[in-house]
Parts: sequence; structure tokens; C-alpha cells
Amino acid sequence: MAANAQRELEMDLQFGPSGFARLVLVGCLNAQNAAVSWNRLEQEPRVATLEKLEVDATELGFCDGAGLALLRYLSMGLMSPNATVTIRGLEPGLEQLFQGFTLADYKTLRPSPAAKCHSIPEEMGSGIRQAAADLQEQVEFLGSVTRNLLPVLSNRRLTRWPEVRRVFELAGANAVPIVSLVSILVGLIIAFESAQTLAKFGAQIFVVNMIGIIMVRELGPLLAAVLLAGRSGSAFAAELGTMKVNEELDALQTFGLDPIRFLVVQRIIAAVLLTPLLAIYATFLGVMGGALVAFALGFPWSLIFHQLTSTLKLSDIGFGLSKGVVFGVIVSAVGCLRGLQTKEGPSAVGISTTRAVVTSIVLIVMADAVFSVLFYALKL
Amino acid sequence: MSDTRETIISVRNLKIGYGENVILQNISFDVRCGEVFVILGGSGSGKSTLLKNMIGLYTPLEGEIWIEGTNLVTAEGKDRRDLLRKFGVAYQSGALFGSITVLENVRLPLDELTPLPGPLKELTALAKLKLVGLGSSAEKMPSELSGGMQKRAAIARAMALDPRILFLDEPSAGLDPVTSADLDLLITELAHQFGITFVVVTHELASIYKIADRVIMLDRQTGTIVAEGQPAELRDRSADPWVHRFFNREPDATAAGLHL
Repeated sequence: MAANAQRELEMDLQFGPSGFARLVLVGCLNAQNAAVSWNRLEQEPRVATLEKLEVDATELGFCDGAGLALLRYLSMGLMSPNATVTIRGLEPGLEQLFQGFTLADYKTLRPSPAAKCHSIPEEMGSGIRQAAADLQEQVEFLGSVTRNLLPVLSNRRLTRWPEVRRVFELAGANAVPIVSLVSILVGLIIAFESAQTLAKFGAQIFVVNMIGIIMVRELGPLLAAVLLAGRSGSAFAAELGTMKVNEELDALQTFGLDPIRFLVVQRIIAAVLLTPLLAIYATFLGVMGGALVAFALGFPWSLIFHQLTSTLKLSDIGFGLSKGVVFGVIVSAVGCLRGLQTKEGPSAVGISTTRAVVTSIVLIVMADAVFSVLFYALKL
Repeated sequence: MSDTRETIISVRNLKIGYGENVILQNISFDVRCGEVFVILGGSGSGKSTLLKNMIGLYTPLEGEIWIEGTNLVTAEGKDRRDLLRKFGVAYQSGALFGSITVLENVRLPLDELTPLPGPLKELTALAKLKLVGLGSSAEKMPSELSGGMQKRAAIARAMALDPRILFLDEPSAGLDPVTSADLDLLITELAHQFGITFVVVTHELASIYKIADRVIMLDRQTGTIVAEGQPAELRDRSADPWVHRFFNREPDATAAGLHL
């Protein structure tokens, strides 16, 4: 297969009597020329009906793997199914390579056509089975975390406080700028949009009451949790997922260390401590955003403050805080669970991260709904 | 015998490093057409870095790398793309794309870089896989293959476009002796039958004796080539103590901190 300076291929196809044809190849049969030759042969209608094809490769100066593939394709009769094909004149080295892959090889090694489609009941069945297995894993994980949480909380030495501090900084302190921006903007937007409607009833001042209740009871904790899920839940999943792929979790287990106690518990502790703080912060800035709109509408700060204090009860703030704690547990636990569930392969960590964020947000909204019903029933 | 063969890669006065940190300097050598050329050196001597410079992933601080008459260091645009297609690389871990099958991995360069019709691409890829002994694993995913099979598949993929030069990074690292010997056999067969030039980075003594036509040896301390020649010749005649220790597997007790 020595390189040939000449890069051209001359292809001469002569048709003889009674379905005979002779193909003479002269020059260089590389991938480019093989593609051109293929097209020419495909477009020639008489090729498919040939009974005898003789390929003369005596003058072939260069032939690479793609060129050999063309010769094989011809000799296997894949282009002219009824023809007996002979290839002659290949130089010994090429001949040996050519013989190294036969029609039998092609038939056995060729991948089978696309996998069959599953029926709808089959798909549904496997989906439900998957969901049930997932639920079981979540319950097991919850049990395992609870079992590990109690000894860690009762024995300070079992907790890796530096790790808790690190997570607290990464997921909490570093999230302050984005939480500030999003909360203040959401406060501003809601107040601004509702002020226009309330103005029709001469009730613009109630913008402050509304934004106070919405932010303290609902949106503050919700915004903090959603941002935490996007920023840190995903990071937990990616971090633990990468550790799993790199066999770091196996290494921990062979030391007799439980990854749940060693990695998961610290993250949950950090998240439980920081989510209420972030929720309070998001609430405060959201309310500030709304108050700014009210101030811009011409109401004095004293009136705005009075409206807020007369609307909000201490229980509202406690309500928001308790949500923050629960959301913190959800985001951190789901992030860690998805990380630990990471499978093998390059896309596994990406899948875990996506699942962590999606599951967290769904569970946060579901928990929020449960909270609303609960607090309504408790008349808080 | 090898002296009569034409030079295919010529490295001249190469200086390699990261910023201020120079790892290798005064590196000059020639690789001849159709030979198995081995780059040797202890851990951390810069073997893989040298390889990454030779395949154009890193740019050397100084020097020239001539491959088939083109200087890789200065080549740009189409010249560089054409040059990169003249060689194939099989990485240490195989670097197969995990989301597609082994056959699709081998087909990928054909799909992207040649105008071939589908059936010819499939035939070419299957023939390459059969050549490295992996025909029956065509439909498997890379994660289903053993370490040795992954390296074979990586060689098949590197050969998809019929390059004249193949670069292999640590082909026998992490393989059992039998698999490693199989791979050595594959390398020598490909070199002798098809005239493919191999540049292999390794420190497996057993495979060096089997595959290498010529070796160069890098030294971590000085960052230069300390020895060049045929492996048996270096083992028996080299005066350099480090080369002697390397080829005779003798420990460097002081370096290991053992004061025996």
C-alpha cells in the first residue's frame, strides 16, 4: 500500500455480449475515488443485471481500505446480485488483505438492523417498574440517611465540620449575589404588575400587603430553594457522580466508611442550616423590591412599614422558615441520591445532574402544596 | 537494514514545556518509514508530553516537527488539517466515544471525513475491526469491552482512514501479559505487512524487545535524550547508569529513599 503521487483514477467499464462486463481500474483507488466510482456504478442500470463481471486491478497503483471495500462490495455481488465476479491482478499484499475479509465475515459481523420497537403497554410496564424501583431506592436512601444522621448529630466527632463549612460557603455564601438579584427583581415585577390592576380600585397601597404575604409565606423560600436546586443540588449530584465514576466511593467503602455518613450527611446538615437563612434573605430582598415600587408610586416609607407590620404575623415568618428547612432537606438529599445513583459512561454524570434538578424542583413544589394545605388546616 | 528507509518524521531541536517550566530540550530524532519507533523513559520524564506535541495537541516552545515534509508546528489551516489526517492516534485509555457502538466509533472518521457511501463505510469499518480481532464485538458498546479490547478498538479507529503513521500512547499499560503480547503481535504485523510506521510511548520492557526497531530514551533529570538505538544494544552496551538500570530492572535505592 505504498503511497502514490498520482491521485487520479481512471475507470473503464466495458459491456460485452450476454451480460458480461469488464471493469478496468487504473491509478489510485482511495476513499475519494472509491466514492466517485461507486456513484458511477450505481447510476449505470446495466450493472444490476450483469451475469459476469471481471474487475481488472493490474494497473492499480494505490488502494486503501476504502478502495478494498469497493472491490469487496463488487466481489460479494452486492451491486450485481446475479453476476459471478472475479477480481484479478491485485498485487500480492493487497490480495492477502482482500482475502482477509470475506462475504461470510460480512454476513456474520454485520450489525443487525435497528432494534425492534416496544409496544405501548410494554413501554408503560417498564416505565412503572422503573418508577417503583426508583421509589424504593428513595425510601431506602431516606432510611439510610436517618440512620446515619442520629449518631452524627449526637457525636460531634463523627461529623466532618470542615466539610460542612465548605459546603455552607459554596452553596450558601457564594449564592448570595444570584439570590439577591433574582429576589429583588421578582419582588419588583410582581409589585409593578399588580399595582396597575389595584390602581383601578384605588387600592394601590395594598401592593405592600400583598407582596409581604406572597414573599414571606411562598415565594421567598421557594425562590431560595429553586436557586439552591439549580446551583447546589446539581453540584452535589455531579460531585458524587464523578466520585462514583472514579471509584472513589468504592475506595471509601473498602475503608469501612459509609458514603452516606461520610459525604451525604454533611451536605444535608449544611443545606438544612443554610436554606432558611437564604429563604429569609430572599424574602427580605423580595419585600424590599415591592416596597421600592410602592415608594416610587408615592407612598412614604412609614406607611409602607406600617402596612407590612399590620399584615404579617410572626407565624407567617415561622411558616416561611419551616418551609426553608424542608426544602433544604429535599434539595440536598435528592442531589446526593442522584449522585450516588450515577451509572457508568460519559453521559452518566450529566444525566444524574439533570435528574437531581428536575426531581428537586418537582418535590419542592409538591411539598409547598402540602404545606399550604397543612397550614390552612391548622388555621395559621 | 533500516538505514535505507526514507525518513517520515523528523524532529529537530524540540523544546517542550509549560510556560517557564521546561520539560524536554534539545530533542532531535528521525523516524523512518515502516519502523516501530519507541519513546522510552521513566515516570514523569515527559514521554506523553512529547507525543502530544508530535500529534499537534500541544505547541512546543521551540523547534520543528516535520511529518512527511510538512512542519506541524507552523502548519495552519488546510495544510494542518491535511497533515493531521495523515496519522492516527490511539490513546492510553482507548478514548472510545462511550455513547456509540464500537463499529460506530470506527465509522466515525469515515462518516465525517470521506464522501464514501454508507455500505462502503460499513465494509471498511468491519474490515478494520476484523483486522484487530474484534469483528464479533462490532455491535458492543465500549464499556462492554475489556481493557485490551478497548485498545484494539482504538487502534482500529485510528486506522480507519488508512494513515501511514500510528501513534500509540502506552498500549500495553494495565494489560495482562497475554493480552499485551497479542497487542505486540498486532503492532508488528501491521508494521511489517502494511508498512505502517508506529511511534509508541511505553515503559513495558517485555514489549519493547518484541516490537521496537529503534528506541530513544528520555531522562527526567536533564530533560534530554540519553540513549538512542536498538533495545538489545542499549541493554548490553549503554554506559549510562540510568539506562543500564532501566533495561536491567535494577532499583534506584537512593531515589526511592531507601538507604540500603
